[in-house]
Amino acid sequence: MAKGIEKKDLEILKSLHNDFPVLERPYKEIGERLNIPERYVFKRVKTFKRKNLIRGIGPNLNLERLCLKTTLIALKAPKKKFKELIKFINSYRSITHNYLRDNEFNIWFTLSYKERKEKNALLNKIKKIFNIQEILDLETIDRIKLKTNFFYET
Amino acid sequence: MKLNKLEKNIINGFSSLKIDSITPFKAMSEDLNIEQDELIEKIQKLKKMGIIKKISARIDYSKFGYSKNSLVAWDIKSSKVKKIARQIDRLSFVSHAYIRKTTPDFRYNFFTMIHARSKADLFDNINDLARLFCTTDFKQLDTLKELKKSAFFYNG
Repeated sequence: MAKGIEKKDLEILKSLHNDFPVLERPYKEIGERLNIPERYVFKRVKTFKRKNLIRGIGPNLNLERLCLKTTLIALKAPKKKFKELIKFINSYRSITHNYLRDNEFNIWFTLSYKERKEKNALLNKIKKIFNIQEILDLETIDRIKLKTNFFYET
Repeated sequence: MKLNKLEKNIINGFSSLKIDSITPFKAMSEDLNIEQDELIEKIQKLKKMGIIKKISARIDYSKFGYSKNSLVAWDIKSSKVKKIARQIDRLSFVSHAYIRKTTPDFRYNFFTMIHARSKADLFDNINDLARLFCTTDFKQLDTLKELKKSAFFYNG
């Protein structure tokens, strides 16, 4: 059981996370799944939103169907111009995840692209502007698992 | 598959879905300048086409106590991947697992994202995987800070 979260709340969160109903009244559908009234689900959802437990609701996409490839990029960010570099990286909408990690390669981000040349152009730009020599470009070959259910499983 | 303009706008338009409305798709349909019924029908179609796998609430896991997270990269022979895939599917503390290309500077091909509530739990989880994979050869890349986490944007 997740820390400090009540069982009913966890069930609602699980339902919102696993399959948000694409219906005019989604909270009615969730209520029916869990055997609780729509107005109760709605009340709890508003609380989750207020407490920022939910960051947003959106589609999980099949990127291959959209002819997109992905890669994981790592680089050694110099202390000088660190903030500018992060700002530059984060400004790209094709970069959705960016993390500071405990390693000499300290910046790790994911990038989606259509063509390699488009990806290489961006990486060369980063190298040039921020005077970075080494970049790890770890292209995705296969996805083995993507399941973020750990927050309610344990 | 190429999406038309409306489909593209729908995929990119979920930021205007109003979670704290009893009809959350209403505001989104107004922003897209279409009827709510049409929006719902189009999203369901994108789901049927397999472009949208599901609509999902993005959860802030740190609010559930998951503050110790690590990307751990392993050197796994391709002949062992299938067996390992089955095994990690049952381990909920592994959220993501990817096979990636290696480079001369980085020879680890198997990436796992591991979540825990404490340093001790994280250590245990990584140890469990090391025993499962029969290797002590891995690179542990602890998450120090989230610099960006945003919804996907489709440029088309």
